[in-house]
Amino acid sequence: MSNLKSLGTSLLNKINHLPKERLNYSISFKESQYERFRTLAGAPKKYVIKQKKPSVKEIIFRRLKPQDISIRPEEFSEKLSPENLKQMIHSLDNLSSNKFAQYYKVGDKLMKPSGYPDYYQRLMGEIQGTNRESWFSAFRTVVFGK
Amino acid sequence: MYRLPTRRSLVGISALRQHYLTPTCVRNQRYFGHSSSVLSKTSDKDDNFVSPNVLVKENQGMEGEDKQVSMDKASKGPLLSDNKYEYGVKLPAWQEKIGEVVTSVFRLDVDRIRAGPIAGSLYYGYCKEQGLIQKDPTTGELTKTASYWYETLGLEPTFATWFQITLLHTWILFVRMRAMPFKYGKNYQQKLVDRFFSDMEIRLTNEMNITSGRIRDQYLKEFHTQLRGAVLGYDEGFSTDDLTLAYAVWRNLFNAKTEVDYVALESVVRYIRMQLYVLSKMSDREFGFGKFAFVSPDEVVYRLTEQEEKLLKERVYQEFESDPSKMTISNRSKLSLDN
Repeated sequence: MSNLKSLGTSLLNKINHLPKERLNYSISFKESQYERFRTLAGAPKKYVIKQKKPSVKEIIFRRLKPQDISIRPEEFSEKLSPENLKQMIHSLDNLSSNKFAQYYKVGDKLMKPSGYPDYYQRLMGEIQGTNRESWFSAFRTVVFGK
Repeated sequence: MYRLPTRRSLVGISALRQHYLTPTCVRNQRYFGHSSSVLSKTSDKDDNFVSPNVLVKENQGMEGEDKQVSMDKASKGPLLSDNKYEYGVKLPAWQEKIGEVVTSVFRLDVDRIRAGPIAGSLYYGYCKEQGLIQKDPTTGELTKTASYWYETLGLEPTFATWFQITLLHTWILFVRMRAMPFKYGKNYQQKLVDRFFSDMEIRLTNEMNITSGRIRDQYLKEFHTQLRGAVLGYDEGFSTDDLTLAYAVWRNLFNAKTEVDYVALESVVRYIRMQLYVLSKMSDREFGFGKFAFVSPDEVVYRLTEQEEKLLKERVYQEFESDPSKMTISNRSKLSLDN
């Protein structure tokens, strides 16, 4: 149990250091995962996670899940093992270190595609708000396709 | 005329990939494809060279139980259509001759015409069969790809999940199509997405038994919105980093499920990057002629050395430009062999 707790604390630390999504989605990976593992590390509640609308089936058969998404203490040993947690920490490290993008480099051929050379720059400019589309350039894209 | 895609080619692997890109990964075998590769000297030997499928299987996820997908949910319709020409039946020689004459007299752009059978039929077939619940004709069990998505990753075997899996593969092809010359790439994208939605409409009617046109249209509009959101998320992930791509995968493929296994997320990100790497090594001509097939989740792609890339290019030139005089009009192309 103490092993689980120390691993849980380590995992929660990593989740805390994850960047937030650039766009404002209705549910954030970082926030939902923090709330999921916070009881394991004994951390306080920090985020309010919006619940998804229940499906018709859930309403009819009353299979509505409890509002709190964090793992309850009595479920720790049932749902998690130290091995699982170690693997999850390892996977999160791999994703955070950008391992696969660096190994499978695609180069300018796909990053600056010849059909749409500034496609990704425009997209990221719009998402980050650094280089927003003007009315004219948006119209041009609609009419000419690029 | 150009060769129509065959049923056999939908499950086959092109010779190029087999020889150079994807040595099959045997469970627990840490095989280094190229001894001269930089990675073989610096890599973390513990987990670099396992396939996405093995990665999840070896590191059992949160639930710790194998899901079994019932074959009752197997798709009942044909993979593409009832049209025999989509399954390898060749046109009679006289019809082919007429086609050649018409193409030559009216100076038709064959690269544009080719978009239909390649993107709209062959490539759509590849995308569709990845998440389709169907029996493998050789083993009689669930196909390898469907087993990866539903049994290994534990995704719910529903129509919406099939849509997300097909959408992910469609997006992977979109990334490569953007790198083709604009007028051809756009045409390929259009054919692919048109076929995707027309097929969805057929499946909603025949398999999901939605007979009301109004309700069907509502679903299609909903799926279209999902497509736009997913393409935005995947594009953002592709152009930034693995973590952003993993967020997009979690939000779309895993339906933002809180109890997600990070090993599964890592596996899918690895799978996507593998496919994109293979596509980046293909010339426009090869891709435009339908030489690409998705790498199976059971396989691993190793980085190519410079020497291997050179060899690959030579082989491609041999295949496409060995004897231009014998080439039929419909097999000629303006697509580059170098890009």
